[in-house]
Amino acid sequence: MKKINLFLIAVLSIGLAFNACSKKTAAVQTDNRETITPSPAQPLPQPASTRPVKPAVKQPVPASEPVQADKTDKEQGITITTAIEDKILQFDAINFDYDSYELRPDAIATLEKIAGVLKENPTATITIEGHCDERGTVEYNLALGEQRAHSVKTYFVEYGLNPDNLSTISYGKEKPIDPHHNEAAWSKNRRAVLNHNETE
Amino acid sequence: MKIAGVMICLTYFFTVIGRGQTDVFLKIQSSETRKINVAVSDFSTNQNSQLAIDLRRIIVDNLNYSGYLKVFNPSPFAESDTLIQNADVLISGDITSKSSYFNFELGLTEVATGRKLMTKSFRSYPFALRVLAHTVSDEIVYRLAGDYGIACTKIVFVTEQKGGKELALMDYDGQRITMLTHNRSINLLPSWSGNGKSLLFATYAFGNGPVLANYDFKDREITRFVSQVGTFTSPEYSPDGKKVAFVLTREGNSDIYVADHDGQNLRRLTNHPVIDTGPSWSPNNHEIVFSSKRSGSPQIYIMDAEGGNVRRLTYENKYNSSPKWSPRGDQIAFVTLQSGGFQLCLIDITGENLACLTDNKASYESPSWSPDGNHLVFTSNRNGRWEIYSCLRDGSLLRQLTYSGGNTGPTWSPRLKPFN
Repeated sequence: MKKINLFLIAVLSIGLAFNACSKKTAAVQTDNRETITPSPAQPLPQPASTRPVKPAVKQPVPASEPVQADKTDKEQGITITTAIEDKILQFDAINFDYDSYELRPDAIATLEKIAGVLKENPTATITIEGHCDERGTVEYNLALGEQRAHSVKTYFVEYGLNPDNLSTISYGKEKPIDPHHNEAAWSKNRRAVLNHNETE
Repeated sequence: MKIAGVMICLTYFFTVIGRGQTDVFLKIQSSETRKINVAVSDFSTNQNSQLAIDLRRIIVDNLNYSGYLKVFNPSPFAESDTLIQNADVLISGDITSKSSYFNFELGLTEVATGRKLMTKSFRSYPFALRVLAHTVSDEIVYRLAGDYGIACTKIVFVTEQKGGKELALMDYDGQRITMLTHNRSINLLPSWSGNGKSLLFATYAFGNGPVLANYDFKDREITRFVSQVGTFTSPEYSPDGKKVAFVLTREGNSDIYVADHDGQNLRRLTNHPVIDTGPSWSPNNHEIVFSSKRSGSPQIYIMDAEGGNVRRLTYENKYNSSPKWSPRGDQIAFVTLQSGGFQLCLIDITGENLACLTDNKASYESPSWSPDGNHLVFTSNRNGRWEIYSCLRDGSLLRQLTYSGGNTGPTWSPRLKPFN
């Protein structure tokens, strides 16, 4: 699991570097594209400082982070789809308090980072799922899940994303990720999930 | 002393008749309406004694569960003067087997006077034994108590399967479970039409979130109901079948709407930025009870059937939801969240006489009334897995109906002509 996280971070940093490079010289861009060696050409902090938003990764990833060559190829050769999934997946879950759809500070911090990624991919369409823990009735939780998904969508729209690219869906308490009956499980189940829709 | 005697009798009956559920989770005083005592003799038969035994056993089970009757000495029946003295009515039956079918002759006799209260003949087939037993039982209850029994009714519920949650159908006693949907999606919140011919429910099978769909029992077809933008949940037919109430969510806000039975002519009934959900009609079609968070916590409210005149019903506890109006018109069943989970409660429509039926040792959800307003069906995890249970409205006669786990969201049919 850890390996994948590091890989994703590296992939993200490559992606960020690529995005940031649009503001830099073409030479840098070309270098990045043609780079096949494991290490990304750009050190991480530099591209971050050119972006208007805070860096999307929390920890400073060493530039020499080994990345398997074939995966790097895949990342650069395949459609943007995979890149977005990976970028979104690596972020913290977005969780809520009991019977609430308010975005907590930790959720907002995560959403801000994700919004930044989505802003860089303006054609991507995202489905926002709202989920609840089991301590509510079926019909009430379907409604609460809608509120949670809508809460996230509202944040994204206020951030500047196109609402037409954002759809919401509630699953109420029908799809918990943790089946246990304790607060640890419940707090995980009270969540919003983002899915990138495959390009039609 | 008398109460102890009654409890001993009831316990005996549960042991013999029930499926091992001997505990009564009664928390309120049982209504003191006296049950009619009946004795059911062994049915005479010219051939198939097993048929006679099975038929009698199912009838006795149905009569005991009706809530109106109490069967003495169900099995085996000992011809005894004392027993017959304790029964108001003697029920007898005779089976005459023919080649492929059989005739069943039912007789009801008033014990004190020897007067024949009822005789009736039925023709049936061995494969239709259950249908006959249920039909006979309901007729006995009607003759003796003035109201048709529920033995011919059915229950639709939600069952977890690979890939999702499907709708299933069973007899009121948990027998003959059959699947209704097979779409490997999530199907929820079924609601019977008043004539028992179709269901409305919420399903994800059409993609993009829950919408309403109609299931026709005859055609076994599912069709989309109401095509509008938004997500739809919590449908409920009005008792007269003319309208449908449901919840429509737009821009994250859930409100209650009503439409004609064909899905046309949508009208909005609530207009509140907080959650309004779970509508249920009064039996006279004039009012709707629902759940709303408008006071700051989920509570039960009543409004006119076209919206307006909203009044709050529940003031105790912090989370009251899933209200269902009794077909008798006088009570609302609902669930309230307590330390052990959701508990089943009843409240008069005046807001008085709040009474909870369950033991707060497990969670009980999704109550639904039988058409005679005498029983409730619900789901509970009291045995470790979610199963469907029914009980009398005073909390007695608790009976487990499913055993496979993952069974929730039951809804009781209206009165049905026996089918299948």
